[in-house]
Amino acid sequence: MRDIASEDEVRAALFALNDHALGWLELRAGAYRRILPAEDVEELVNETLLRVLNGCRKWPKDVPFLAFIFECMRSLAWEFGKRNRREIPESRFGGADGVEEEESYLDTQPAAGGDPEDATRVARFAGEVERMFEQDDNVMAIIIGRIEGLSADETRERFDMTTKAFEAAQKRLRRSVLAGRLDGWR
Amino acid sequence: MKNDDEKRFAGTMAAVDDAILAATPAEVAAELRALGLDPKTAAAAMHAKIEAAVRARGKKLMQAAAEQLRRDRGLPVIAGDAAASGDLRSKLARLLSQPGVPTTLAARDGRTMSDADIVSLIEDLAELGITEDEQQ
Repeated sequence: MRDIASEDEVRAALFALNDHALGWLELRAGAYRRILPAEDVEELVNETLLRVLNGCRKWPKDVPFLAFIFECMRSLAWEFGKRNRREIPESRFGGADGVEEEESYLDTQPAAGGDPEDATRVARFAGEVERMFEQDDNVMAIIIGRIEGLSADETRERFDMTTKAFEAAQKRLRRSVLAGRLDGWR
Repeated sequence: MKNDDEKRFAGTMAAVDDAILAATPAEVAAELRALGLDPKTAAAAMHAKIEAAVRARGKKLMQAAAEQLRRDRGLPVIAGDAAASGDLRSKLARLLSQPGVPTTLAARDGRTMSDADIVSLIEDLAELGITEDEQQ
């Protein structure tokens, strides 16, 4: 049985994030701007925080907190990509009152009748990443390993990579996404 | 069950997540600057988002608690604040163990809360009429 954090523990973990950790979060949000409209990225962050606090997403305490937050973000990013979000509501945390304030952002968005492009837009991003790195075996190994649910050690072993080669490949992947080399994918 | 597209997307994004988490603090700062963000400002902005989310969640809990109290007219409301000099955590535990306390609040045990948060929660409970009786 996994030990699930209480709401108090989640809140304490959020407030315990130091500047470096907050920087990681901001950087991750920045990377999503390569995939989603800027307004959606803001909502992605807010929605993630909301769901981890209210227990919609439960934090197994054996998972590092930031890794858990990132996992929630990518799951939500997929949901965002499937919805038509032409009208971006004001942030729920901007001071509006009423119970609707904490209503899920996704709940306010139409689930059907949206732009068909939205349904596949996010999915195509993965294809673009793979195309970009099709000549880079080590980066592709990292991606394939993750898709197949392998740990970093298992990926290194399966694809016969040294730790140094693995780390270098991670850096190439990070730099390419963050530096906007994929900006033309849409 | 995830479909192939979702699994592929989740795996690719997880690889990007891992790559970002593997960055050193210096690399994170450099990457943020490359995105046009000052690291200190970025950290402060993210902290503000966290504070706003926590406030919104607290407000939601209080609204739910007030609503439950309105529905549950049989709640024995106990007046007074005689235990003000007692241990705050013990006091909070006693308050939360009262029958009829909204479940959304009763689930908060306070073990990981700061003293200030506990005082704030006790004040919130008082606003709902949940305080300790002088005889207790």
